[in-house]
Amino acid sequence: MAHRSKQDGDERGAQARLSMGSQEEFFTRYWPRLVRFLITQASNHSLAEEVAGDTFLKAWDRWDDLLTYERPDSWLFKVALRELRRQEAKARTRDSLAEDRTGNMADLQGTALTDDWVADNFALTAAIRTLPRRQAEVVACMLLGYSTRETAEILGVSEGTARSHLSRAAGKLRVLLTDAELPGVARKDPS
Amino acid sequence: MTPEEALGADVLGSAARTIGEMPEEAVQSKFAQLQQMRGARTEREIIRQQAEADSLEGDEAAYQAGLMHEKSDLKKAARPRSTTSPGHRSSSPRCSPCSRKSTMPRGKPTQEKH
Repeated sequence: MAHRSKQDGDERGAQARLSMGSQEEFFTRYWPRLVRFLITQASNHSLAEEVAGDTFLKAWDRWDDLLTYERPDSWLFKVALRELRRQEAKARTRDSLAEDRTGNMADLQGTALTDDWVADNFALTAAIRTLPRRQAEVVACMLLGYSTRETAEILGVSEGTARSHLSRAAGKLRVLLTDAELPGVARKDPS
Repeated sequence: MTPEEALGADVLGSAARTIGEMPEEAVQSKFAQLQQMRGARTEREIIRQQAEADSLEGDEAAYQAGLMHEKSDLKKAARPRSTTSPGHRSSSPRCSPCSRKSTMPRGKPTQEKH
């Protein structure tokens, strides 16, 4: 299993480097992933898209450096996530708001109208948003196919910490997606 | 651990498989829009964005340096310094062979004062 994860990681790294043939190829491969990754983390869609756009501008500014990176995709998600947290902190200071990613289902419903993936995975996206910040980040990295080792690298935590967050998140998500009702999310009829 | 292992194959599986799929025209139009924005940035905006990226990488580098420092010190703290018999380990280089019981917490890199 560990071997398979390493192999998968090597493959993802190779795919990321291959997609760097041109800025457009890199963008085409990672734009959908980055925006959806951020949608699961942000309290509003427009902020997620703004941060994703800013992150690509930064990537293009340092394109020559990125070409030398082993994992340019990790750089992209790491920079985007930090930028998102920074912007959210700024907004909270400015508006004296408490951190709240959980209640904004209206924003998610609006996003679902324009993004098929969000519409198809509405309950899951809503559930991820109700998790504590670190747990939500770990689940979103897993959603992108990253192993716990790669997730830990992106989030700047130890592998054990990432695994522990994932295990807690998995327990909560199982409950949220099967037994409980999420605000603004209709439960699927099991029949 | 994969998403499937963590949450069951049906919960995250389909979401993970399709996360990279988006209509081509939507991606192309966003790319064109961002390229246009890139060209229209003022000198100040370019510098601000570069500084932000530098600062994020600086944070990361500081964190990694902190980790490396911690790791190397822990190794140093755990390395046997002076031994009187096989398997004996003095916890401080200054405590020549354990004439008194060390009060230094295990794994701490600081040196005990006499």
